Amino acid sequence: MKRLKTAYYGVLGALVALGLATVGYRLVAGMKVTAMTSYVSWGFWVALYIYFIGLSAGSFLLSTMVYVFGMHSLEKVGRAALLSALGALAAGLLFVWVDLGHPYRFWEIFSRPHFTSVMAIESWLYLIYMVLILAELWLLLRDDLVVVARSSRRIAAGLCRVLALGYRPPEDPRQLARTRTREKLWVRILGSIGIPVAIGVHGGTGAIFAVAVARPYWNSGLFPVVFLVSALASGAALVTFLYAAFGKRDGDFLPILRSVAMLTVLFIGLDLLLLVSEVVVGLYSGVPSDVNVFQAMFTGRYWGVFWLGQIGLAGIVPIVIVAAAERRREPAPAQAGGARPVARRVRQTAMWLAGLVALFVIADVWLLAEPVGRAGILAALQVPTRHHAGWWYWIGELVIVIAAAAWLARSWGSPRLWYGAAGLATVAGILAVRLNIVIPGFVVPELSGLRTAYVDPGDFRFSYHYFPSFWELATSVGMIALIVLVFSLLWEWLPLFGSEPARTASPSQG
Amino acid sequence: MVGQHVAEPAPADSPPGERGGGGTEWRPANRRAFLRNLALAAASATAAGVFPRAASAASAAERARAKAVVKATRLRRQYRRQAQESLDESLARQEIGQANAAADATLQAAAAPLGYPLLALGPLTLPQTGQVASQAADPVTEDALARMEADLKRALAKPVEQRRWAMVIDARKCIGCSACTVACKAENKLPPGVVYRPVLVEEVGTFPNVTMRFIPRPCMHCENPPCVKVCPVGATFKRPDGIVAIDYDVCIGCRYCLAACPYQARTFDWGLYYTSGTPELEQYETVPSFEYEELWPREGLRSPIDNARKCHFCLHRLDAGMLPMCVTTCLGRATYFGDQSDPKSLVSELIAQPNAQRLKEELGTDPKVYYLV
Repeated sequence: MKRLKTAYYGVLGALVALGLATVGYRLVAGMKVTAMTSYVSWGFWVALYIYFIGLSAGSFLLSTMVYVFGMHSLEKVGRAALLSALGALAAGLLFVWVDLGHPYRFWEIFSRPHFTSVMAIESWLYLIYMVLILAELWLLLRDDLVVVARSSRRIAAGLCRVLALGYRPPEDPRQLARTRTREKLWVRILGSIGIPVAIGVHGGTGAIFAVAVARPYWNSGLFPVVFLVSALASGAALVTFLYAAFGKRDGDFLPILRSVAMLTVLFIGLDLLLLVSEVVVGLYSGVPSDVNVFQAMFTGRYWGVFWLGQIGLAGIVPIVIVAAAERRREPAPAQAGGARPVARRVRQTAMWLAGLVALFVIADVWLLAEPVGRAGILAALQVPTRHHAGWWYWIGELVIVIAAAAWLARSWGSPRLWYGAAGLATVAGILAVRLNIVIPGFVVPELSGLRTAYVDPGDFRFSYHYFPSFWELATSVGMIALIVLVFSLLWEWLPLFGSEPARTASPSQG
Repeated sequence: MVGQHVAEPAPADSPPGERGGGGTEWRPANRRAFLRNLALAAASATAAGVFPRAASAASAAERARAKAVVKATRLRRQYRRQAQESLDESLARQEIGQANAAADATLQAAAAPLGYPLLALGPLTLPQTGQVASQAADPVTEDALARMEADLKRALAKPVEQRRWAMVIDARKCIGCSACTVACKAENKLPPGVVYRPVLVEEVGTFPNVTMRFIPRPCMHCENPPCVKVCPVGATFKRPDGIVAIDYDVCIGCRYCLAACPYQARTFDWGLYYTSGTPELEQYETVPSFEYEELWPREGLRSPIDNARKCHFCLHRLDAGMLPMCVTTCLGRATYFGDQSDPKSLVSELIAQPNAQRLKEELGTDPKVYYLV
C-alpha cells in the first residue's frame, strides 16, 4: 500500500512539475503557443473551464441535498462533495486564468468590473461561491479538525490546527449541544444561500455562451439549463466515483453508492432529453447556422467527440452499467453438487461471445462493402471528415464494449467497481459534452467567404478548424494534476469522513 | 466606468511632452502608464542596488528608448498641428487646390525627421483633386474625396458627442482589389493574423455565367454593439462619436468580444511577425503603430499583443483631419465616410438612398456601415 501511495504521488508530482513548466512557458511566450484562431477564439482551456465549473456546481448542489434537504442517506459524502466542489472551482478558475491574453490583468475584473458582461457577473459570483463553500466546509469540519489537531499525525495535525482557526469546542456538554445546533442551522443557511449561487454559477456560465446573439447554436434559452443539468450529472458522477473508490466501506456503503449512482443516471437521462430537444428543433427548422453546427458535430472531423464521448461515455455507458449492476446476480452460494450455476455461466458466456463475434462480423462487412475497403479502416483511424466507414466501425466497437461491460457488470466483480466505473465514465464523458459546447459554436463562419477573404503568413489564425496545440494539452494535464494533487493531500489530511484515528481509505488506495 | 476613459480628440494646441498624445487631461491610460513607470523605476532602483552593472545597462537602454518615444510623439504632434493649421487656412480661403500642395509640402517636411515616408493624405496630392476642388461649389462634379474632406472639417468643428461617424461602401463600384485591406494593414502596422478590413468575395452564378461580388467588411461600429456589452472590464467601449474603441492597456485578452461579434470583425493579436525566422526582425514590424493617438511599440508581450484588435475608423487620422486610410486609398471611390448626423454630408445623402443596406440588421445591432447594392 505504501509503495502504491508513493508511486501515486511520484507520478502526480512529475506531472505537476512538467505542467507548471509548460504553464510558465505559456506565460512567457504569450498566446501564440496556442492553436486557437481569431475565428475559433475559445478552445480546450475554455472547455475545461466550463467543465470544472460544472463539476463544482454539481458537487455543491449534491451536498445541499444533505445539508439543506436532509437526505441523510448521503450524509457521508456531503463533506467530500463540498471539498470536490472547492477543488473543481479552483481548477476552473485556473483554466480561465491561463486562457487570458494578459493573465496578470485578471484583477481588473474586480477593480473595474463592467457588469453588463455575464463574464464579469460570473467572476464575482465565483468569488461569493468560493467564500460560501469555504465557510460551510469550515463549519462542518471544525470539530473534527480540533480532534485531528491533537492527534499524532504530524502534517495533518499541523494543517488542521491552522485550519481550525483557533476554534475550541465548548467543554460543557449542554453548551456543546447548543453549538452543534447552531452550527447545523448555519450550514443550512449557507447551503440555502448556496443553492441560487451555485445555480447562478453554472447556469450563468451557460449564459456566457447563451447571450451571444452572433451564435445561434448557443443563443437559446435552453442553453443555461443544459449547462445546469449536465453540471448536476457530472457532479453526481464525480461523487459516485470518489465514494466508490475511497469511501469508507461500512454497512451503509452500498446503499449510498447506489443512490448517488441512481441520481447520476437520472441527471444523464434529463441531459439527453434536453439534447434531443435541442437537436430535433435545430435540424427541423433547417436554419443553416444551426444545421451546419450539428452537421459538424455529428459527421464532422471530430464526430467521435460526440458519438463516443458525449453519447457513449457520458450517456449509454453509465446508464447500461448502472442498469446491469441493478439487476445483478450475486453468485449463488456453493451447493452440494453445484454444477448448475457453472453450466449457466458457461452458456451465458458462449452466448455473449457469439454476439460479440456477430457484431464484429457485421462491422467488418460494412467496412469491406465500402469502396475504399481496408484503407477505410486506416483512414478511419486518422478520423477523416465524413468517412462513414470510420463511423460504423467505432460505433460498433462502442456497442460491443458496452455490451461486454453490461454482461460483466451482471456477474463479475463487485458493485462498487461498476458504480465507480459508471461514475468515472460520466466524469470523463462530460468533458466531451463541454468540448461540444465550445468548439462547434465556432465552426460556421459568421459571414460566408470570411475564411478566404484574407490570407497572410499568420493564415491559420483565420481558420475555422481547431485542434489544441501541444502546449494547451500539456498545460491542461499539469494544471489538472496540480488540483488532483492538492485535493488528494487534503483528502488525506482533512477529517472528511469523521475523525476516528484509524481510517480505512485514502485516495491512493483506489 | 465606461465613459470615464472615453478618449477626447486632443486639442491641436495642447502642449507637447507627455506620452501618448492624449491632451492635457489625466486619462486612466496615462495614469496607469505613469504608475507602471513608477513601479519600473522603483524596481530598477532596487535592482541597481543588488546588481549594479546589469541594472545600469538595462536602465540606460530603457531611458534611451523612452526618449525616442517622447521625441517621436512630439514630432507627430507637431506635424499634426501643422497639417491642421494649413487645412484650416485653406478652407477659410476656399482654395483647396493650392492649399493641398502647401499642406503636402508641410507634411512632408514635418515627416522627414521621422525617418519613414508618410502615406497620409495620398489622394490630396493628386493633381486632379485640386482642379475638381476648385469648382467646389458644384456638388455634382465635385470629387467625392474633396467633399468628404470638407464634411470631415465641418464635423470636427462640432463637439465630439454631436458627431456620428458612418461609412458607406458602394458594392457596385468595388472591384475587389483589396487595396483597402492592405492600406489598413500598413497604416496600423498590423501583424500576421490581424486584419481589420478583409474583402469578402462571393461567386454568383454557374459557369459560364459567373460574376463576382465583393463585400469589404470593416468593423460595423454598431449602435448597439454586442462586443461592448460582453467585455468584462469595459476595455472596449462606444465613444460619444459612435466609434467602438478598445483600450489596449485594459483589455485582458479573454476573447469574449471575438465570440460575440456577429460580423467577426475582431481579430486577436497573437504576437506574430512576418519576418520572424529570418535573420533579422525587420524594422517596419517593430515600429510603433499610432492607433488611438498613442504609440504602441511591438516588443515582448506588450499590448496590443495578446489583445483583441479591430477597425477604429482610423481615429488617429480623423482627429488630424484626415479620412480613414481605406477611404483615401480606394481606387474606385467605392468607400465613403463622414458624419451621419450632418444632413449635408455625402454619407447622409447616400444612406438616404433606397438601395442602402446593412449586414445582419435583424440582430438589432444597428450598424453604422452601409452598403449600396
